[in-house]
Amino acid sequence: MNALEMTGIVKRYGEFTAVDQLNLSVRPGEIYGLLGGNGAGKTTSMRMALGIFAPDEGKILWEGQGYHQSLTRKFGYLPEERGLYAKVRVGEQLVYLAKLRGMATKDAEKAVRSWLARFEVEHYLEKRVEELSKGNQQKIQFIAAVLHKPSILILDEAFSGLDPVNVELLKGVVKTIRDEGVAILFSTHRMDHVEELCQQVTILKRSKTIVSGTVRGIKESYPKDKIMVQTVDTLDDLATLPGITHVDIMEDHRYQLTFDERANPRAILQHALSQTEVMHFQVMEPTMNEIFIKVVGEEHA
Amino acid sequence: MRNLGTVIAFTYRNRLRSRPFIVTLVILAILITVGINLPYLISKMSSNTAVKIGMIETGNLPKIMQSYYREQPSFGIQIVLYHDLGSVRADEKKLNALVQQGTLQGYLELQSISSQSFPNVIYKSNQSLVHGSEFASTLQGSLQAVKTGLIVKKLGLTSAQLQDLNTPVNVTPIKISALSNGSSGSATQTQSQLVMMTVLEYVFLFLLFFAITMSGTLIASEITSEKSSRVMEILITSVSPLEQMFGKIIGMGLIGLTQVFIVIVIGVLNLSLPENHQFLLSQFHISLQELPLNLILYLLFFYLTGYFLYATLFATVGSMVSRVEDLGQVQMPITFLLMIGFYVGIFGLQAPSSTLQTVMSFIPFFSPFIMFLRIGLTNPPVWQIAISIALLLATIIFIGWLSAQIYRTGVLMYGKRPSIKELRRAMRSMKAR
Repeated sequence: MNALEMTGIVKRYGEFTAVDQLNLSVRPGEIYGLLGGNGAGKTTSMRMALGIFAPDEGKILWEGQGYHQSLTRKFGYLPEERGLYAKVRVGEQLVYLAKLRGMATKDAEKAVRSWLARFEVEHYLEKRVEELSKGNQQKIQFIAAVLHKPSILILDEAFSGLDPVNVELLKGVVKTIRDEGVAILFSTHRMDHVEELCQQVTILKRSKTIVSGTVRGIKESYPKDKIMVQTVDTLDDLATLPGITHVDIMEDHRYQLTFDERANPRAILQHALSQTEVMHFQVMEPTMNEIFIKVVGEEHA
Repeated sequence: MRNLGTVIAFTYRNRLRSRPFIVTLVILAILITVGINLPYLISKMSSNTAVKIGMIETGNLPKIMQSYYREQPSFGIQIVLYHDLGSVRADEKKLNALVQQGTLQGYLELQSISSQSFPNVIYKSNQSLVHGSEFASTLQGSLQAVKTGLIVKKLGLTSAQLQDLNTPVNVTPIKISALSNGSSGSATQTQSQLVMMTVLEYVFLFLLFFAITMSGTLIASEITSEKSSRVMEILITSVSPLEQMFGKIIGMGLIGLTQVFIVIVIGVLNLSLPENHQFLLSQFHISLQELPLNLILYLLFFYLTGYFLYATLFATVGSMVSRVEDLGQVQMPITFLLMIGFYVGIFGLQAPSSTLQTVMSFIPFFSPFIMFLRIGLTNPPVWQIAISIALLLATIIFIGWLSAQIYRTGVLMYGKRPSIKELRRAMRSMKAR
């Protein structure tokens, strides 16, 4: 059974349609990527997934059931715009937020300590949130979302504002939570994170779904059109080969070639070998980043 | 409603430990303590040192006045006599010098008027003495007594007759009231009760006005800052808007009650100091035991309903704006309503039976102020009290419901303050699950 299932969701604000025919389903133990440019309808979709308001059309099921009040205890939410009480101590507000989600005070206090320890910020327990750095506030925000052991976790831009070390730390925790069987709906602008974490994605553009499916399937549906070559010496005349539309020359004799259907990768490799020694040759599948830019940017042009 | 208690406790604890709350309380405590003890301290200081007033010894009158003031120390005036130097100018020069030195507060000159037995009295000092001021009236009253004494002496009245003459006529207003039935046993309200009621009404009006204003603006600004700090995003997914809003209102209401309770305790402690008890309470004929129980119940009822009605309104406008800076504007209509209730109440202390008061006591936004005033000072029919309370409760339920609807929509709307039209559209599109 899917933890979260949204079918045929439509949401309008007056004349404006914010979400148009959204379909998605997240299984327990899966991270589902909800992607899209700014104003594409991600936040509205997430708010409906959290039951804040109902869609105008379509149906949302949580663990096979319609909305009921006790669901709020199963939700965990990390909003895109971070929100904590600036003047309240870290420990106190985490306990408060956990209690609102149905945890007993004792359990909440214990969980707060262990989570702070996990993020190596135990000493912030008695600090006010406003005294913390942005990255550390982010950790607290994350703890607030997962403290009460939610079964449906919604992470809106979970890793923004963190340094690379902390991104890795949080990514690790997200993976652990996923492996514990939590269904995660995940939004980000970092496509490398999508490739690393998500099994399925939906890309929204101006309220509509333009791409949807597994990351693997989406990538395979787009033709391979790039070759990466690294050689010992300089390569000449690459652009003269048939089907090569663009050549990017980079440091250390690395070349990124864009090609179309007229090109023959084997001929390109041979062309390179005839000139110098080849250290690396790869026909690359498109990255999610390229696909995203392609599909979202298409009509902009 | 299982989260209501959590929200109330969080609101209450955070406010209780906040610096503004503690500072306000300390300031209030100091003000009350000083205010209650000041009259006694002033009286003590001024009664010890009698005001020295000079007079030139001409004729009998200065001697009579000197002995009169000596026998009546409560006037706080001491007449110092000086020998006549022969010329008016020399006398004046001498006395003026004494006033300048500070030995004398001032001096009196007598101007005989042929048609009257008592001379005209001129008071000269280096301070301007406002006619009708306390000292002027003391001087006038005491000299009137001296004059009466002189005339009476000529008539040869006995001391019993004299005392009878001096006893002032006593007018005792008694209010016919249903209220005091239960407690004091008589169907009437005595003078002391009436004074006490007026004082109580006065205190109540201030209490209600300030409690609502302070707690109300706090509620609004806390909700707005929850919105602007975006904690609201998390709150809204874990607590129902109804619990959030009423939890805050109740928590802040408890803070208000705590504050009032502490203030009352400080006030009572100060009043029960023996010197204050005698000085303040007996002077105003107040005795707290005479307070009817049902009046206290009415007081509690109107305080709570008044608070609740306005707090709900404040919470609503708090949910509508996104920045604390925008709050002032949207709070204005509520503040106006409050001020109308308060000022009509203050006027009503003088004329509690006027048509204005009667009409206002039925309008829900004003009835907490005015109906309680009428109950305390006049004797409104029971059906009027019942209708007023029914209207008030119905309004609270309606406003509470409407506010909850606006709140759940308002907290999700960011940007500029929404117009009523935008709000209604948003309320339709974000309808309850």
